Amino acid sequence: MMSLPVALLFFLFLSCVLFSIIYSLVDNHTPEEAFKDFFANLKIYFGGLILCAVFVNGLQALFGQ
Amino acid sequence: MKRGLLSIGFNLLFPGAGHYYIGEKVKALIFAIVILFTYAVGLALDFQHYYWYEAFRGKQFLITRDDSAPQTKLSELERVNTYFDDPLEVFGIQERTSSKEIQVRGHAKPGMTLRLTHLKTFDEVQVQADYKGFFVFEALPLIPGANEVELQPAENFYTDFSKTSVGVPHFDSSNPNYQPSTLEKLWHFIYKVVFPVLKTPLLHWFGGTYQGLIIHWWDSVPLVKGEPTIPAPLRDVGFYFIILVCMFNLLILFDGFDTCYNQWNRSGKF
Repeated sequence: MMSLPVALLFFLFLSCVLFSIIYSLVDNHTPEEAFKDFFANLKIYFGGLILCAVFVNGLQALFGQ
Repeated sequence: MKRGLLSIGFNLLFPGAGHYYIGEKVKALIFAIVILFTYAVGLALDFQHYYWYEAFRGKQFLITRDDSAPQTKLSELERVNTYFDDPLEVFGIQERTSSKEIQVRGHAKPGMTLRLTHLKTFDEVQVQADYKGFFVFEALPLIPGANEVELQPAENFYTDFSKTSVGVPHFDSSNPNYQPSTLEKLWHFIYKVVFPVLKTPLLHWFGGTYQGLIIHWWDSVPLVKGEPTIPAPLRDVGFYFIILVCMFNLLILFDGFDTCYNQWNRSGKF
């Protein structure tokens, strides 16, 4: 069992993983390229997710709920 | 051109089938696994996904109270199929009983408010379906002889503590007061046309059976501490996963078509 924010983070991370798999296969032509691109995609998507979360939390801290 | 179009056609029937057809077998397998998994996660979190209010009909039963008949027991929980079943399912109504009251159990839209009315005595009981859509009414008294009982979506929810009623939207299109907005009509179009195509028909049809099989999973493995039901933010994530399935399918449709004409992929390395 976990707390709600951790559960949400888990599922959103999972969506980043799934997105990364699909895009790495669509964008590349060999398994080696796709494997490398998977990690590059994951870094960008998960980084983006964290940045968005920080931004939204920042706005909430400034302007309230 | 024909090969590319056939690839789109196969991918529209089942995720990855088009890639398998053009010889990208590993890619096809990965696409199928990822998309099926995404859909499975989405449906496990979003139990409301298949419920549709349109053409929602209440039900009427005739129950005869007769002292020679056996006593009524509360019916067992039955397996449901959220896509193919009626929006309102009632489990095992006994038509002849010697009991002085009956309890009705069934399945409807999660969280839906329902009322059960005795059409002769006008006794009424109401209930709200749980997060999975199951409901059990309180006992409704029966009179000797024929008892006509009607099950309907409730328009008001009566609160116990303040004895006041709260209006409950039920979006019942058979109700003349229900007039959907343009935005709501657009949503109906997405739900009826876009979703079944983009999720692929096979996933769309069998999703209800899958949901019926795993509908009690949160009771065994509650992921979040102190939450007896799936919390609303997680239900939203479930819907997001179903949207992801549509996006993934759209991506692979284009990819399958493109791959047929892409010099790099001609060697079929995947």
